Amino acid sequence: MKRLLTSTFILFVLALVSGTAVAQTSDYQVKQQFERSYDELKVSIAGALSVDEVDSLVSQISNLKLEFENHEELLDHALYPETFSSSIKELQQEARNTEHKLLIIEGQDEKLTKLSDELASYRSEIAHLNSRTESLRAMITDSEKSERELSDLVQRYRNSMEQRDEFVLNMIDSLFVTYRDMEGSTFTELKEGDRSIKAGDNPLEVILAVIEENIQILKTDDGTLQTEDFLRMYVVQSRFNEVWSQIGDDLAAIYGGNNTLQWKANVEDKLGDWKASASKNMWASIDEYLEQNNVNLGAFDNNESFYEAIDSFISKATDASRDKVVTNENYADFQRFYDFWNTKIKSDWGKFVQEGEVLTMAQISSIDTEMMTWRDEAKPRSFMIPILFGLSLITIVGLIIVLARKN
Amino acid sequence: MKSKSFIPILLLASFVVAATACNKFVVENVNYSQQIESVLVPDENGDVHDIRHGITFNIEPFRTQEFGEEDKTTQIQEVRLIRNAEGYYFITASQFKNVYVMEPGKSELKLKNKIKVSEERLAAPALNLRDATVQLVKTDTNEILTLNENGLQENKEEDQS
Repeated sequence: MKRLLTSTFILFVLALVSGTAVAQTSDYQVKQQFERSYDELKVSIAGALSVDEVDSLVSQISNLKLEFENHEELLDHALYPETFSSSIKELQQEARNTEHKLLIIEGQDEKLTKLSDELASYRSEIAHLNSRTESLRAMITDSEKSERELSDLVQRYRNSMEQRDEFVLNMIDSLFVTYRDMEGSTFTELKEGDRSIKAGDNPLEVILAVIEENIQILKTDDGTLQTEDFLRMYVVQSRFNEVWSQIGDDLAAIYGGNNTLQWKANVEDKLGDWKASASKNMWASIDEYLEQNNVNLGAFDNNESFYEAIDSFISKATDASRDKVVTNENYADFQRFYDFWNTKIKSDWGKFVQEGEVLTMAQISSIDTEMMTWRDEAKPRSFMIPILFGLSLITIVGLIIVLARKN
Repeated sequence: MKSKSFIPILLLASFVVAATACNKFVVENVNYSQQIESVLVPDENGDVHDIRHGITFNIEPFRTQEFGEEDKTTQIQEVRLIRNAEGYYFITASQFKNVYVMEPGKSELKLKNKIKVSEERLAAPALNLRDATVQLVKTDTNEILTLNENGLQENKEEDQS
């Protein structure tokens, strides 16, 4: 049986060899076969989706080289100005480039998977905090409890909101860090690749949901939140806007599927709404706080008008202090604004004022200088020294007169 | 007096010798061979262009030669052309019975030889160049004919392809 198999094999090989010897090919056919294989390999390399696939193509390039190296001279003529060797080298180089690109993409894919998991975790945590916040809000609305208990509920509600905003900031920072570090070429590949995203894992959906929740909170506030909360929310939306402006185009291109432009427009519309609500609530809350503390700055609804209002208020107050005889009442005006400026703007709200650019560092510094001038003008001056000086003068004159009469 | 009459003759002789020398300026051992055949597709006017080797001609005269003036229907899909070391073009195509050996001239290809290579019409011919000679390969029958401008040569047994 074994001998029969061996004989059959030898016969098969002989038939194959003799067949090959008889078959006559034209040089033109050799050229065409090489060009066809070359083109096919080139297309396969360009379309390779994994490093394993590229490895297999590299071995096919080696086979192509072996198959045609007997025709090298012919192919050098046929492929002019290229040569057989340069064509093989070009394929090998393209395979190396594709492999390098795929290694980066595979690395980025791992990163994206990790980000996806993080997003899911953020999403669930935010949902949990939302539900806790909502239930606290409901409790506050329906509360018939004592003032102390109510105040405790409000404090818990505000803490819950703060935690929630912190999560949102962490999430947007994770998104930013992940996509910022990606190379330009990787983005192109990711855009072209088929990104199968599970429903709910799409970062665009998460972003849209977070924006809508924030708009909802801002629009339904019934006075429970305070200026500090609005400042923090304003900062969160500023950061969101900033990150979106840097990676939004790429996110929409990667995860927007066939509706890239629609996703982008949708997110940007919502971001616009969020910004308007956050801004309106924040400026109104600062204004209300100042009114409650008897400081009337006039109207303001943005960074520029707020700065101008403070600047104008201090200038007028300084001029008034300069023109009038300074009284304790003038100084109390100064003291009230000074407290607002130092305790609230620079201390309690300082972090958000700077991060949200409610006032820039240059504006704060300029107002600080003006405050010093106002303080100098508003400070009640002591009359004791002039009086003592006058008394001393009168005494000296009296002594001189007495001495003169004696003489 | 006699020597004076020789001077113009000598000058004329020198001029003739110099002129003849100029006319006989020849570079020898030029190898025109084309290593691989060109396969050219005729356009709607029957013109074929070999851009790489710089030749354009019309295939209608070949069609007439092969199929006669009456046959207006047979279309030539591809023309195969190769040039040997001496500079002769060997031209054939599917459905031809002959290989045409054409000598290039001033804006013309002049028939040097018409080599009958098949009683039947060629089904899948190809032209190779081996050791400076042209081979016609009948790829359908694996038959090889060795050609030069004078006609068929004795076939070599082995083929290096």
